[in-house]
Amino acid sequence: MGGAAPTPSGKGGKKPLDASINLVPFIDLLSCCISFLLITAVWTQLARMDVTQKSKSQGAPNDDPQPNQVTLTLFVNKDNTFTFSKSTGESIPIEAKGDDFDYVKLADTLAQAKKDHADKEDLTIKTDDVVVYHKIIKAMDIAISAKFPTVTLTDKGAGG
Amino acid sequence: MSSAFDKGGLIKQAGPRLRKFIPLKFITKHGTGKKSSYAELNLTSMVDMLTILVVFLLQTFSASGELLTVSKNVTLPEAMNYKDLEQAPIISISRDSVTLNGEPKADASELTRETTMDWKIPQLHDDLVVLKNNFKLLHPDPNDWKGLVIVQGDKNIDFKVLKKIMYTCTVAGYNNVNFAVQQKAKAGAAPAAH
Repeated sequence: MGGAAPTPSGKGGKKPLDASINLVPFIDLLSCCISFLLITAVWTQLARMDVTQKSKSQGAPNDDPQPNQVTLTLFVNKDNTFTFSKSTGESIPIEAKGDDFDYVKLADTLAQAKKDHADKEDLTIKTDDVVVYHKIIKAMDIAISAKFPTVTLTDKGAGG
Repeated sequence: MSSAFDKGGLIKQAGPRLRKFIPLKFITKHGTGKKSSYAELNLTSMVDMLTILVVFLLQTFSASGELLTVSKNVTLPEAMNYKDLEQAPIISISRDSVTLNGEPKADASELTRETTMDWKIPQLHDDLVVLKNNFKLLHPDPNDWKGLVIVQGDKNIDFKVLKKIMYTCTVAGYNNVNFAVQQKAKAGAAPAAH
């Protein structure tokens, strides 16, 4: 049991030094807390990723770029390769790594692009129809990690 | 010392112990007395354990509750950059079917095979429009409408299916499409791909 040792008072010092604390209500409170938290617990950690879209009939919000502004586009190809291109004409191919995309090189390429265009926050991802969903999500995730928070997702047919 | 014993003073030599002279079993034997029926429970460790449990559960506590329930045949992709979930219509895409808030709306395998240029999924579109109109009836302020929809896609579906869903959402007035993902812990300051 919990106890404390108060200083003896009065003459003789014969009073017991240990004062016991009643732990029962404390345990009751903790048990109630645990029950409530276990009932309301959410074990699956789900979240959402924001995406801007540009489909065949609708333009993206920033569809009319300023004349001096560079637009950055990442092509996700069905042969597990990326192509990062700028509206200035520069194009960087990222070859496949085994049977998968080379995400490390993509991260490096996007980081370099962010250094070159620090004010740019948007990136368009154009993908083939047969590319698997989780690979697109991974590419988007890398783009957001590289400080391109506004990711537009579209297919290659939409103005690509 | 010896002089004190000789003179019969106050200090006397200790004699044999009392127990050896009295032939009583209850004194000479140990452990035969009546045991106490009161067993004291050490509560300190129990309180420690309960406190640790409460701290752990409080850390994992989510105030928003469970907004999204993953369908049994849907495996969500993982992402490190994410936002918290919000209340919105949920479109679930598995390998077999497309559902809106749990109700089947289209056959996913059929959507994959289809080669038509019309991307709109009629039934999904109509139901999304109904949900939008219901929301606008309940929330007359136009600023309340965010056009948010959450797409809960299986990680192995093709983009072909996804783009049709996204197109249908846009046509129905849902411009804010979000993908449901599983949270993935960030590995320190390393780049996302590492």
